[in-house]
Amino acid sequence: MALRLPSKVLKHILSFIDSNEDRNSVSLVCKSWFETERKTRKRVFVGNCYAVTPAAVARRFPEMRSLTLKGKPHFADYNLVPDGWGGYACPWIEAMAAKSPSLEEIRLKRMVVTDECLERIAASFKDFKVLVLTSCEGFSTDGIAAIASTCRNLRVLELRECIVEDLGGDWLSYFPETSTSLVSLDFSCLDSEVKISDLERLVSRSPNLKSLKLNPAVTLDGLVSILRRAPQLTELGTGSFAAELKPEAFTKLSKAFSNCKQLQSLSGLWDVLPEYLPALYSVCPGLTSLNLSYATVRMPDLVELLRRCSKLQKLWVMDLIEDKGLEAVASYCKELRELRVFPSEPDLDATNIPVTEQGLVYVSKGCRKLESVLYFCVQFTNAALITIARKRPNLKCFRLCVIEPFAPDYKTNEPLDKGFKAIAEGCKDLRRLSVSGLLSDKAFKYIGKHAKKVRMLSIAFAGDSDLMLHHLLSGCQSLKKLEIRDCPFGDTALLENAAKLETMRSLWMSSCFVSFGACKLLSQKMPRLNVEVIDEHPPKTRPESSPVERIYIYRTVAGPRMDTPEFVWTLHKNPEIGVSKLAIK
Amino acid sequence: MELDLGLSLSPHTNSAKLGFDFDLNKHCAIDGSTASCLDSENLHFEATFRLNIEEGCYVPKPSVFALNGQPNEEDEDPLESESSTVYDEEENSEVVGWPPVKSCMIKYRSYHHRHSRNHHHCPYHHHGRRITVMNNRMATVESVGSSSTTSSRSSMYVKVKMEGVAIARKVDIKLFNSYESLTDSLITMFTQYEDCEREDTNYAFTFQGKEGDWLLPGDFPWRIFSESVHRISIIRDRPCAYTRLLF
Repeated sequence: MALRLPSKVLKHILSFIDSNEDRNSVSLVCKSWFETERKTRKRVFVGNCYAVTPAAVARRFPEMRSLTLKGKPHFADYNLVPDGWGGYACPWIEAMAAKSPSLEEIRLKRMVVTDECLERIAASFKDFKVLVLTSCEGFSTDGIAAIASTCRNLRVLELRECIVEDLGGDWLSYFPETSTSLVSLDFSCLDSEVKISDLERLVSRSPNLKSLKLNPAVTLDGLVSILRRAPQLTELGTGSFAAELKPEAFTKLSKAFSNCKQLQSLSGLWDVLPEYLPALYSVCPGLTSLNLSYATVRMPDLVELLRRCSKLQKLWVMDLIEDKGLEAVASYCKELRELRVFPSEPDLDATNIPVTEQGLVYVSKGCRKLESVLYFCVQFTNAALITIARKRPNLKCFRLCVIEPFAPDYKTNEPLDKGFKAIAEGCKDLRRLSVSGLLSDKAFKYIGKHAKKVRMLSIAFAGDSDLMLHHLLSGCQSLKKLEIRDCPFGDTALLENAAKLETMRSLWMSSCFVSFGACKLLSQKMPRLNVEVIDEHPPKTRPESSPVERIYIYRTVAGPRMDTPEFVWTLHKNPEIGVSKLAIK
Repeated sequence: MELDLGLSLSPHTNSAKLGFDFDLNKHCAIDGSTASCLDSENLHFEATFRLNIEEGCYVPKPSVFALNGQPNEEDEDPLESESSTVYDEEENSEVVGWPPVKSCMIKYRSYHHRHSRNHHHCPYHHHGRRITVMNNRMATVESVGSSSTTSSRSSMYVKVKMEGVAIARKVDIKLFNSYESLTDSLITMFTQYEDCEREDTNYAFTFQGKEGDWLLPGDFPWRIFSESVHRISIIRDRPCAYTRLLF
């Protein structure tokens, strides 16, 4: 006879388990474990807002305090998802307002959020503390004002790379004089100027403020005044750094920075003039994170800054750093874990990008803790990839963007198959991989076979045939998200590996040769998948063999979605073509 | 299981929509001769002259990755013809969403191009790229437009400011082969839009080169001039009725 663990004991044990993956495993053990787990889960993560209904989530997790939602597919960041596709936050907010009024934290990524939605949040959750919106759109500064004015215990308000209708800087003045709870404020994506006196007062009465990211409209003078009032900051995003240099201004700036003895993360630095960089020298030794992706500083000024950052773990920089700058990083920043090198001229035609594969090789050799890479350059070699894999088997995230599509190994003119094979085989903990350059089906055979832990894979302009997709879908044991564009495969691999799609969160394909007929068939055979055909200019008739522009397929228990715009085709919308699920129910 | 799907050589219909195929209309200097693709004066005119308001008044939003062939919604310029296929100065590539850089960064980069102190060379690259997928990964990227030897650009837009007219224009210098053809066209353009009398006015042209000095037509041979001209200024003898309203 099996003894059942008393639920109080189980509850206590579960209180030590934070990871949702572990909790998901726990809930699969048996019904009583499922029940105990769901009643104790406080932080809920929904990776695809259409995979499950808001009501179901609210019902399952009555003690939810924090909700994280993701909407549009990742390729929406690069304008591949037309406006109006979906990802609306409102239904979720409505459901939570009704069922989970104790909700304290909401984090949304790539979703459409309206002012009404924000007002609802402010009105419905009495103890609301944290709002983080990443790559969201659809709201204005009025909505932000509503949050600021009503949420008395607001701790975190972060707008990261959102598209906001900016109606002016007034929103900042809506924080009541009694509000003293702010810990983190990020308005770096807003354009309008805020009143510096409002900001000064807010900062002065927020003793717990640790993270502040200003927008480019805040001047250097403003920055100095803020820093004086918040020397306890650990994270700072400066405003524009491009004012005319006056000696007293420079001294004041240096002094203000040197007083921030706890600063660990620095970003912003829009248009920073090299003459101002020395003002930052005092904080460099303590920095663990430095985001220079908006700082158009060149060599050798960059090196002067970076060689002082011996504790740096995360560096985001533009390719103006050049190979020799990366060589310097390799020798000075031994703690580096994450490197992102962005193109200063994101132009398909740019042929004079100053970083080459050599820069990344330097860093891979010199920085033993390097585990995450995003690198843009014009061309690469297999030899470099092989070296990187050999030196850094601990890589977890490797995203290489060779800007020139179909660029082969420029020294041998071969495809980059061997190089990516080395990466897949050598980096056994790889969780995220983006490939580029000239790649044949073979590359995907290697990836399918060896990249056992890869969860997210991004592919563009690669492969020869259906084999490539077949290799990926029949291999890649841990694959959860696959996004592909401009690759020459058709229906066969997709249909043969349809079952795999239920083990994944989503599959995005655009500009490939998948036919409408295949999409229909997939929809009919796999009821637990939503198959969306996205065609900005839908043809009047769709013959079975006509290729579709974009397909987005994801597993779901929520059934077909009801909020699709005209340009999204799903099976249930066209009952004459297939059986309508709604009709059956 | 060996799948052997021969890739069709005909371009994917959807590729064209996404800007994959090279659009001949967009580039007039394919094989060096500027007149070949120009059907008529009208097309020439509309394709080259593009309304551009002085910086500070209006900042056109980048239409870098227009998803469809339709004119960018933010371009509310009534003077620009529907068929005008002039390259938006912010539009860097014809392939949507490639390279994969987030729009907040692109917005910043193009802003930076306009305002950078160090910015001295022409940002108006207009290479067309044809990306052709052929059998068995023999894919090539053909660089259309004169690439290596002489000029690295297939068009070069220069700002033209006429005295008394608030709005500056832009002109593609590469479409002309002499000072006369240039000045003639400029006069035509301005009189057309400004509603001025062409005959009774004297126009004085001055050109600003890379180093900043102002030159007169003929100071340099045309070829050298066309590589280095930066701005054009036109001064009129007689202000016309329209401009009086602007003062």
